[in-house]
Amino acid sequence: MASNEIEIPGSTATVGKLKEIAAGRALNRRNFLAALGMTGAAAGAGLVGCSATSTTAVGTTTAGSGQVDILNFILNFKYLEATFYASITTGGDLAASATVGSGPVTGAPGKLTFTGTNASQITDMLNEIYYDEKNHVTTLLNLLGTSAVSRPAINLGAFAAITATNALSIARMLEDVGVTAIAGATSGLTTSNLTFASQILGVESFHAGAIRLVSIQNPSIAAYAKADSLDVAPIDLGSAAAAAAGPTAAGGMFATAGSASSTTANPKGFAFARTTSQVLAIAYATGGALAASGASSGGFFPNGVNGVIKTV
Amino acid sequence: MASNDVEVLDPAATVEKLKEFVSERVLNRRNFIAALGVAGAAAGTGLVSTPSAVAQQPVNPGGYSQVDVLNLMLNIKYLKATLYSYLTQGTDLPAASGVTTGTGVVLNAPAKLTFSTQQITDLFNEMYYDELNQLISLRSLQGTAVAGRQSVNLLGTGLLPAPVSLPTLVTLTQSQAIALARMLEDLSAQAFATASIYLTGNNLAFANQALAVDGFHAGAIRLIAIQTGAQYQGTQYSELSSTTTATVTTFNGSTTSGSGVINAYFAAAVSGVGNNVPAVGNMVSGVGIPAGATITAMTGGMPFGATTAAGSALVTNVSSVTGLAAANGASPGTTIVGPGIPTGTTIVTLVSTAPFSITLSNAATASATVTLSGMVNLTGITAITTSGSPTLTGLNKVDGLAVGQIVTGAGIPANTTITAVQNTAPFTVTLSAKASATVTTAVAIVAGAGTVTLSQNATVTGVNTMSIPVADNFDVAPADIGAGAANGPAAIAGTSPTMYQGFFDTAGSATSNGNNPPGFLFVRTFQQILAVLYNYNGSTSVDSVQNVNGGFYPYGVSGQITSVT
Repeated sequence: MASNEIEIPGSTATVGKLKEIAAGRALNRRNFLAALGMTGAAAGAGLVGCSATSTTAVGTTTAGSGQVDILNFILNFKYLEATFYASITTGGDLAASATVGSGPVTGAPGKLTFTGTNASQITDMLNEIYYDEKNHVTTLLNLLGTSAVSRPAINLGAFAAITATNALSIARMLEDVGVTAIAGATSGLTTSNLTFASQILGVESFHAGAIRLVSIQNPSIAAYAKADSLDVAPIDLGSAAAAAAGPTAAGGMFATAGSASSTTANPKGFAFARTTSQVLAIAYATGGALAASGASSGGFFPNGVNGVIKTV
Repeated sequence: MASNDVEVLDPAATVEKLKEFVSERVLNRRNFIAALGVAGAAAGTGLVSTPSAVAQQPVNPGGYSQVDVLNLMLNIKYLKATLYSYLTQGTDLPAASGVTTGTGVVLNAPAKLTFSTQQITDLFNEMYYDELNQLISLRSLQGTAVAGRQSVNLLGTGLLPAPVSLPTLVTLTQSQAIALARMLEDLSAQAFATASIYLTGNNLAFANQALAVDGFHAGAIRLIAIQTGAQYQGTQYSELSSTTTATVTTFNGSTTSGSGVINAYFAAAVSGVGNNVPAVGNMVSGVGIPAGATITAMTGGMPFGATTAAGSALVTNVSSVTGLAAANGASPGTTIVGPGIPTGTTIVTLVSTAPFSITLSNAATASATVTLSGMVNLTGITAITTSGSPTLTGLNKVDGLAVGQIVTGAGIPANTTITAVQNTAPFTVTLSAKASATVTTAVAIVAGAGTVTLSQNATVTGVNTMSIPVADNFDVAPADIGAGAANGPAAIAGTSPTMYQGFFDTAGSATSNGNNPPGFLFVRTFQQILAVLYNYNGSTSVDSVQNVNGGFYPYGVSGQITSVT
């Protein structure tokens, strides 16, 4: 059956046939996305039409971008995370088949050996995070089909040369920013694209929650590097009463809005959502300075991210 | 099933069910297109933070209104916020916050818990902050359509036996609290991921920001569970079975720190269905039992159903042979007790493949369908019987004794069972029949007791209720599996049915499917989520099949999405 056809099962349909149709739902999702990308802006525009207004309402800037563009935006960051974890946990790079082409990767530290409290646990956890991230890349590539962008040039050492004493800091930042990036981007997605993105969001936040706790437990190898004004330093506020009052300017257990940092779009106790510009400003940051408006490359992405959404 | 639910097809799905699924899919597409063309713009424009947004929230393509979806999510938030409020503050959610307006009662609320470290204390307190404030904002978002908190049972045990005197406070251990929080956070993340497809605008934004925080909590609490060796608390939902839910199996037992052997009391304590009767390979959960511990061996006498025939030593229709042993030439087989079985009867031969049967050393005296029990020798227990009294006194210990067990000893009539145990000194045991003599006797053999050997040693010494979690491929037990972590969540060795473990609740190579690719958070349908909430431990409910209430919500969740079916 052609990818976008609607099949009405006949009265004599067998269990096997019906299962085949049902199982094809996942494949249809891919075809649906491919159709969005291949049949042009018309399909995409129709979808975005209903999301653009609501996107604006919640303060994100994915308005005007098609779902393929949004998913490709997410894919760029999945490339970055997967490449980062591949390097620090295996000493190698992602398989060539996992990137549909790639720019150069620089600043790769090689496999790291962690020491200190819960060192083996940290190692194992980072290995499992790598498993998740590389599979996110694989699934997004399948979902996007021929519309998927290739891996852009990546400089893993954009913040600093990666070592076992700062890798957790970078991982923490990447995961927290990743959460907010996807939380901001989902408003432009619908149907199974949205579900998959939400599932990735869930896993990204799993990672962030665990890495933040590990960072609190291992401050000597997890110095806080502030990403931007929405970033929340991972700290234990030190008393039940303080923790029960939520994050402060000093930080908190989780990257959520506190009394002083909450807004209408980011109420207390909720995760922040960043616009694509806010995310790119962090990703393109150089020397600790956020990239300026209009920037389209720098930092982790020396040639910019691939795809339509690429400018701060 | 609602039209946009992500349904995992059961291998045994019927043609009718599959037709329904496929036809719904067709309809979904139509609704989706219609929504884009007609309702889409309206959906996008008005969903801002105005509290009274009811009229502005249209029915999404899935057939569920956004208000209803968010109200279902609120039920999970109520549950978590209330739990954390009691654990950290020792009391209910603050009335001043407005979130308890129109609330039901809170059953089995835990007393304020003293955690082992400041870090864990602070973590729970910050989770409390998040959940309370999310409730406030989500309720505001819902406006007048908000669903209030229904009556909740924070232990998921359904209705309490009448009369209920409130408050019904209970004490949770840290291990139990972590395990419960872990399960609820993972479930909540899954629920919000499922919900996202039905939502737009601010509803979607808030839901996904809440999803992220659930993930934060889950990621941290799973790590705490691993680091503290907290027990595993399953969802009690099994997509492996032909039904949507399964009943948890529990048994009482005493653990010894540093030992993998549990003195278990099976009699009258075993519940459960199907493959959930304790057996080698099952994972065991309980206080002081590390997550992932499995049963490697069992001895003793779990009660089993059987058919006896008068004058025949052959017993048929045996429901379970777990813990039973046949004579091996050097020693007698397991002693069997029960109606129509002569005293001292042992197993001669045992057919341990279905259909199970046993041949006894003596012929039965009656033809009947009965419950029999294997016997186990609990050495070292002595007691004084008093002629004409059902009470055993002078007991040196009561370890291994439990209500329902059959007791033997001088002066104790055949098939006498324990009806009560006083396990604080002076120990006493009350029997179902009066003693025939006054003697000091060795209570050396009882039925319904045995040993369960685990793959890992217990970490505490004490008597507790153990459970056999239901195998749920959508729920990954928290564990550091070592170098294997690089391959994602893995099967727990020896488990049968197979269960999985890992740092995060994600799909692995063996559990992934089209809806849940490897490395992705699982999504559950709303019906599957309700099944977890209602059937948490197979507890009692108003609705006997627990389709619309039970477990954590003994009177059902509030809102419009309330049914498992």
